[in-house]
Amino acid sequence: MPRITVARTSADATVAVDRIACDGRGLCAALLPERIGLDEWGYPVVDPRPLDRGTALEAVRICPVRALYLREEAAAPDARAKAASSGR
Amino acid sequence: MSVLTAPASTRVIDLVAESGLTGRGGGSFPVHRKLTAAVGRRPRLVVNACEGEPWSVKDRWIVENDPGPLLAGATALARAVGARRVLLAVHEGSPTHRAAERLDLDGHGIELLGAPGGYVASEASALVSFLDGGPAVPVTHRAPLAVGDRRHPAAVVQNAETVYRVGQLLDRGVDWFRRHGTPDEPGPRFFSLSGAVAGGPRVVEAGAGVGLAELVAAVGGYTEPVRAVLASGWSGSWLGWAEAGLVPWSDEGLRPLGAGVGNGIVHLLPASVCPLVAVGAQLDALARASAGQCGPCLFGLPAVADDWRRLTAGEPGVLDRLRRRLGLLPGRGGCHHPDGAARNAASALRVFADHLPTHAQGGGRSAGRPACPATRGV
Ligand code: SF4
Ligand code: SF4
Repeated sequence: MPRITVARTSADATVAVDRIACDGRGLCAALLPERIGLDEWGYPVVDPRPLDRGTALEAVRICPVRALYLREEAAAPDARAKAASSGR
Repeated sequence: MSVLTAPASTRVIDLVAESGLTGRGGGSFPVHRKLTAAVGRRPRLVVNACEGEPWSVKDRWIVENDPGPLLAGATALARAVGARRVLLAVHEGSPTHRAAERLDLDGHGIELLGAPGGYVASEASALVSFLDGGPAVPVTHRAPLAVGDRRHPAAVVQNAETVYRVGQLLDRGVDWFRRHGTPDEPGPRFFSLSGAVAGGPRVVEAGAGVGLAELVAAVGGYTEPVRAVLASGWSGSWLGWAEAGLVPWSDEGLRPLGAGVGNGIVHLLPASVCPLVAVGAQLDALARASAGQCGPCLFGLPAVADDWRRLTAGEPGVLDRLRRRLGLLPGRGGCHHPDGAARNAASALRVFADHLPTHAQGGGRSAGRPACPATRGV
């Protein structure tokens, strides 16, 4: 998975959770309360509205198991597809 | 270069696109899109005949009774997407598995993939994980499976009936195909009828838009009075018997009732079965079936099943908590397993709300003199 380039911090982004990887320690909610809450079992409830990319990245970086990620719009699936097809 | 023959891949995929065929496994996703995404990636083609839903028997029927179009469809799709391997996935030791062993799979270049039993093992990404040497549980895939990633290269997973329809389509043409169903949901499709039907579960072939009365008549009518219908199985939606008979059975017709045709399961719940007990048993089973990987599924499903038990026992104050928890399940698992459980429970609340007081008055099953007249379980 290509990491997000920091050069594009001006744009907006949305965060998403890899549910299988997430272990519910809730660090992301502490850092990004304006978009992430926790359910009664401690797992994140994500508000899908876009936010400043830089702020989102900070939260992404704090997740200890890399379960939190930026959801790329439009352009990104292609980049991922290319990486995937050359991957193997 | 011949102008008469387009590359085989384009022709088959164009035909599938023109036919309007959608996935018959429950997702109703346009088939050609998945195919197009996989072209050029040398994908694996997985024909999914697992049928994790206990009352689904259509894929088994195909393998046992009419495998020709299935094998033809698999061969054509494999060529269209340039598949490097073709696999027929069945639950290990199932009747479908035994029937598949009698087919000439070798002659068609198809391998048999015997996946472990279980509800979530037949989920598309679980099959891919198993195929790649991992456990048969859903895996994270931020890119579509048909595109693939480093850990799980491209795989096109199609339900067995979907592949069977492709085989028919290539043989009989788009016009024949589109004569069935509705303009938006074209083509023949299988329904699996179970519950209050003789010798069920039974398979009926019809098109989207068919009436429930027609489906039930096709299996010789119902065997006892029916209270409700479960559309698309345990991960589907409950409908009242009367309302279910008034709408066309298509996604469009069922949408106002919060349901869809899905995998084609039509389960008739007898009036003699307590619906609250039936739903409770399904929620328990769905909670046990969780692969236990995702918090909202691991903790949410047992919590919802427990709420259901308390609710039906008449415990006050549970309904609000249950509704809140049901709202927290959809879209919060690695696969759609929690979404299905939430759909089942939420639709059951809508359809069976009037039964709650009656049932609770008698304390459900445990009381000496239950007010609920329907005492049978599932
Ligand atoms: S920080 Fe990561 S692991 Fe912790 S709750 Fe958030 S997404 Fe899950
Ligand atoms: S949602 Fe449940 S069944 Fe699906 S991957 Fe997560 S734990 Fe497994």
